[in-house]
Amino acid sequence: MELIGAIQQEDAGAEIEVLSSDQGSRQDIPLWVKKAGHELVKVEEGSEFDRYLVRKTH
Amino acid sequence: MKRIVVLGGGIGGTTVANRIQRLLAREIEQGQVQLEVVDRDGIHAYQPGYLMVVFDKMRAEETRQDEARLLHRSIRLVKAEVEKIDPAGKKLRLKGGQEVPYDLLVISTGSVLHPELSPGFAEGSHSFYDLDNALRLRDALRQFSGGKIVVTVAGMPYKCPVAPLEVTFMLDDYLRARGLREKSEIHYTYPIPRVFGIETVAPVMQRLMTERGIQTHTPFNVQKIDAAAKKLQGVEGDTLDYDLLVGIPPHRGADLLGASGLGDKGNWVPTDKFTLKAEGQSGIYVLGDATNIAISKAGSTADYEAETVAQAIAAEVRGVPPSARYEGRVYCWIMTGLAQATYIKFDYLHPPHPPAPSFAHYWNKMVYNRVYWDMTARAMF
Repeated sequence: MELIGAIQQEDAGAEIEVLSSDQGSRQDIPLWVKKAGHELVKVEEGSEFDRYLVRKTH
Repeated sequence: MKRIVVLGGGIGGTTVANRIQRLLAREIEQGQVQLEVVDRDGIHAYQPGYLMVVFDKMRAEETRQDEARLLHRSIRLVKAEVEKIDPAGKKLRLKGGQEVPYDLLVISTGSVLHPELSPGFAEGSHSFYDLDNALRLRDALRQFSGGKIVVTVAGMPYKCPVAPLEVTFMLDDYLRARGLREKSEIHYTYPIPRVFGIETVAPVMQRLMTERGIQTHTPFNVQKIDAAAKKLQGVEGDTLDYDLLVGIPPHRGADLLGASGLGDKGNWVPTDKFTLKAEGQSGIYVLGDATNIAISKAGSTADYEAETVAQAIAAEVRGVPPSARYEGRVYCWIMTGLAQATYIKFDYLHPPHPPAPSFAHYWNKMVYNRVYWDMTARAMF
């Protein structure tokens, strides 16, 4: 949810970091980033939350 | 004398002012504290009523009251547009140049609709997030004789996250009642890969949609709307044509927050999710839609946050450290038809589990629509 809001507010080229403890995010974030044509730079899985770094490409 | 200024006369600003009044009644009466609400027009809107107006469940005039009637008589109402907040000088600058100094400030400026940020939205989409558009949609539905209805969300974040679900279920019921459902299609699009943000709620809503023949398209982020061709184009490459489009317009925080150096890129104020203090500022609290907290932008959020902010303000006035914390409480009814509803109740640690839709929950919501003014705005509880 917050990732999409952040992507909409940032300029192309910006990198957005998402911290999520939501299990569904492991599937949803990579799926959406690919579908929308952005770039998933990094995923770090953690015990309390996962960290995703997404670059807005357009 | 301490000056407490509440900026904004919506649900958050009104209820927090009335709560502060109750906690500091003696100090206000003795002139040690002055409590003011600064509001653009002095009209208080009950925004959840707009969806009700679309389906003839409330009349337009039932969604607004004079702010002055809702505030305790000891609270001063200043009707003015604020141009800038000066956090260093602790004052507001009003349009026209007048200044309002404060010792403690509560920002409750809500969210602002920006249909122009979504290409084609203003020309091509109906909406129900303000009264004029709700009335226009009501009238369009009265003329509707069947066809393809698409419900979409043109920007994140948006207020009342359940509203797209509600309008979809209500449309389905409305068309059935008029014998138009078989001549119609209802399509629901949502920006993330499920029909609602909260994981425990999405499957329940998806099931209701499937049962009712509502087609879902996720993830779907609006790229542009072609009003002439009646086409909705998604960022992910899908295109949907429509006869009637009902969209949620993009939202931003109030411009003055960006102009005052208090907002992020979307003009939302970085806010501590527990204390509700504006980050990096002193004497400024934020509640309701204006915060950047990753929680529903909803009236009930503002109402629960107001309890925390009022207690914190009272503590600061009395010179004791504020101890109240906002734990992320939210309570929202979800209309699942014209005369049935469920609800979600949750906080930061406990996700919601909506009960089966029923007439009783719907009835509670309808009662709430009427008692809102006393119970919530005047902070009866």
